[in-house]
Amino acid sequence: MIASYRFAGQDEYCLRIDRGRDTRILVIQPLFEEANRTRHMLAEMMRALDGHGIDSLMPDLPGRNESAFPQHQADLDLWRNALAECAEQLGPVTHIAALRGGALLIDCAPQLPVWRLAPAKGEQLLRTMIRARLTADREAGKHVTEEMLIEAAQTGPVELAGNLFGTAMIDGLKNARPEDVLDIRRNSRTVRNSSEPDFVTGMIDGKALWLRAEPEHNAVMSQAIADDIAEWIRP
Amino acid sequence: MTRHFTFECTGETLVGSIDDAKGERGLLIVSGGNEIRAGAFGGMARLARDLAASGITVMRYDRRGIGDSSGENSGFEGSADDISAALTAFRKQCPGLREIAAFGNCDAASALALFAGKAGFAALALANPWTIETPDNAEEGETAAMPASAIRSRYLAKLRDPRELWRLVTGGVNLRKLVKGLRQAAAKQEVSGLGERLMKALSGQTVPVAILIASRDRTALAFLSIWDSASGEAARTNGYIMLQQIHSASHSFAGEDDHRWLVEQLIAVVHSC
Repeated sequence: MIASYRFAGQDEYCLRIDRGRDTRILVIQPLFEEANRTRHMLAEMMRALDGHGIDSLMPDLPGRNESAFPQHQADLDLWRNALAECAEQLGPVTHIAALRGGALLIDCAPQLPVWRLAPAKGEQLLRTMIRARLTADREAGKHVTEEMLIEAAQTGPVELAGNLFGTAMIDGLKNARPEDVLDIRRNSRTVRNSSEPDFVTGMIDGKALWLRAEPEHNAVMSQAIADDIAEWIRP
Repeated sequence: MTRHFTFECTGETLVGSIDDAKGERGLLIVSGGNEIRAGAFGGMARLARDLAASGITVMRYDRRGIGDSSGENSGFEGSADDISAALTAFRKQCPGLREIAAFGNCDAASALALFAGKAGFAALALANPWTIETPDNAEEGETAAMPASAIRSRYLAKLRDPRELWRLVTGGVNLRKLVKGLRQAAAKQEVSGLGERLMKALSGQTVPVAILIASRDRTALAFLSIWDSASGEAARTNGYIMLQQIHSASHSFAGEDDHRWLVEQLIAVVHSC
């Protein structure tokens, strides 16, 4: 259940269910605090995939969860490299499952079939975190604007919603869109959460867990995701 | 280097993480709310590394139904077995440790106060203990009302801020919300069942207990109003308990200064074993 992969001279934590089977899925979690909120749901989802006879890996991104890697030195490209390293060391990986902002990193293995849930634009994630920082500052009586934060990021790490950001990450997020890293020829399936107004090819029933204030579980969603992935892999 | 492992609790598989240090004392961190063992913003993982750097071996874990662990989440009220199992696992993973203390924030602090006696820790650090119960008369859809003491403190602070007064004058304040809030603030603070249980548990502690308070945190304010009341007398006069306060509104000791203060307090508690 507990594995690790080597990246930038450190061991990074990777949750793993591996029984040496033919199908192995690399799970790319939502980014930043959305990962905390969906953690248990995803761990249970991996156990449900196990029930379908499917192996899975869910690595920590450098600077996230258990990682001691300096947060402000991470950016989207570094994260893509880390995921590629993990797949290389703990693979072979046959499919990718990416959720929310995780969908921005699926070009870590562009040749693999990819399943996506509620892909999120980097700009949207950034906006939410900037808003959280500005609200916190105003509550504390500080007069801060978004321009001031962006400018400060040019010269040193900036804290947004509890995470430390360098300018490479901020710029990367501003310009990252899920459609840009999904080649049209790639074998893919995209589903949306049923609480969202528009959907693509399917719906997963359950409230938007990643938007809640604190981690919560949704056992129905864990099973529904696993079932949908299993069905897509072996129709 | 943090190491990770699994251990058993009532037939479920729990995941723990340990930061080893050379000393003979350890600290078990119990997570609050539904937070994963690394903590919001990786805060607990960082705290553990900082404490290990100062010679204290630290363990964190996901209780049942949380994070990477299996099983059902029974909240802080149902976490007694998880706390015991974690301590057993800690001792097994680090047989060289002589004394093990425990730290919890918010409802984890309450869980430790209520259940730690059975487990057998050498000392406790309880931060901003949670005492709030959902009132029976809450309006439908309303979340648990903020305790009166916390509301009073918040409004007083706002009224002192000239920017807030300007908002009031220029119509930026929701008057209906303000009147409702003031009415709640004027209500006498009633001691909940949980508050009473907590005071009773604290009065019976026979190991060093440090109660760590962020003096402008709403949860801490609710705790203090019970601590300072008649219900808290036996706990207040228990010589094993020391209250330490930092002038801050951060419930989770988020700022750099708060973090440093917390680390100092935890080192002191561990060394009081």
